[in-house]
Amino acid sequence: MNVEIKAPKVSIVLPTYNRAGLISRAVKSILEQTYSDFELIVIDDCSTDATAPIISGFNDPRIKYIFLSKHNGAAFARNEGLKIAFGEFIAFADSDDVWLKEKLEKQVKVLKNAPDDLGVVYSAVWKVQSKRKVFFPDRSLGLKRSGDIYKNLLFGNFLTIHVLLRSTCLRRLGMFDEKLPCLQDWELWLRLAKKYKVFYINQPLVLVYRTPDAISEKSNDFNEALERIIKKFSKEFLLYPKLLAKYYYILGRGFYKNNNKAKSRKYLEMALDLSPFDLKYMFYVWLIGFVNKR
Amino acid sequence: MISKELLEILACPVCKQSVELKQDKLICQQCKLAFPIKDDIPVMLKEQALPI
Repeated sequence: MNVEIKAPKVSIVLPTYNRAGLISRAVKSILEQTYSDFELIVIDDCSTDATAPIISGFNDPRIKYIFLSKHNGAAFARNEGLKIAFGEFIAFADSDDVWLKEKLEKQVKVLKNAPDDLGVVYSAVWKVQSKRKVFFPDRSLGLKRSGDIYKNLLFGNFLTIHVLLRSTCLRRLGMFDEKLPCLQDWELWLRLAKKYKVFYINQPLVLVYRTPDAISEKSNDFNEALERIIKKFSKEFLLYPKLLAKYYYILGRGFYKNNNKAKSRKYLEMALDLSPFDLKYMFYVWLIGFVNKR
Repeated sequence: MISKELLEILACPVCKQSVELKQDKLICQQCKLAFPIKDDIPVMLKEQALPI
């Protein structure tokens, strides 16, 4: 007998790890969306707190919940979610953040009516920093936000994790790079934006909260990830020597902070090679030479 | 169907022991619980599990 299961339009992938105090706010904001044809796949990355009973408390048939036997990080958890996701469209959520009611509705409407070469839709967000709401992405930067944004995306991840995309895109291009300790979303969006058009909704649809233990705060992981991404997209970064010099400078300072003087020197010198008249880079190359002599 | 690869990385959220697939349910022998599978995705919540 053939039993046909009607797949939901959207699969929402929500990884979580020891966020019992916050997960409820995130899940509630998803279940209260004005667009309701979705499955919410919660991937518990081996939490040791009361996450499971909190999810249970919602008692909503759209929630699926899997518990991983080992803690492997958000990229691994998201990929496991993607492997079982059913929907034609995929959305990513974060246990720290809150979706505004129309988030999904507005994004689904765009993707439904767009041609197949438009693969990703994203929106502005409010970044909540010590009770202040900051509009993101910064309006003043004047970068192109829709269409072929691949090159603009090299300047930084202005999509955040809260995108909606076609599952066919991921089938073609693969999932998150699990070798990256952070910035995995930026790396995947770069791969997607290279092949697909992107659409930007100029209205904040998510509250993004920064918590002190967020992985992006760990500078060693950040250095390692940035290094790997620059290598992966080196051909494109080389088209923008000033930008590349800036990233080398960030790596130079980052490795200096982590006491890796050799790498710090290497990157600061590479920054100066690309931007030979930059006084800041000159100063730091001189400084690290001076420190090394002592 | 739940893939073998997925089954290998799952654990019971109650006792953290491995689970096994039996007749469309995920079984934890330790806790004597059977977790349901909906649309090929497990729902590993104690409150929705059946005792075995």
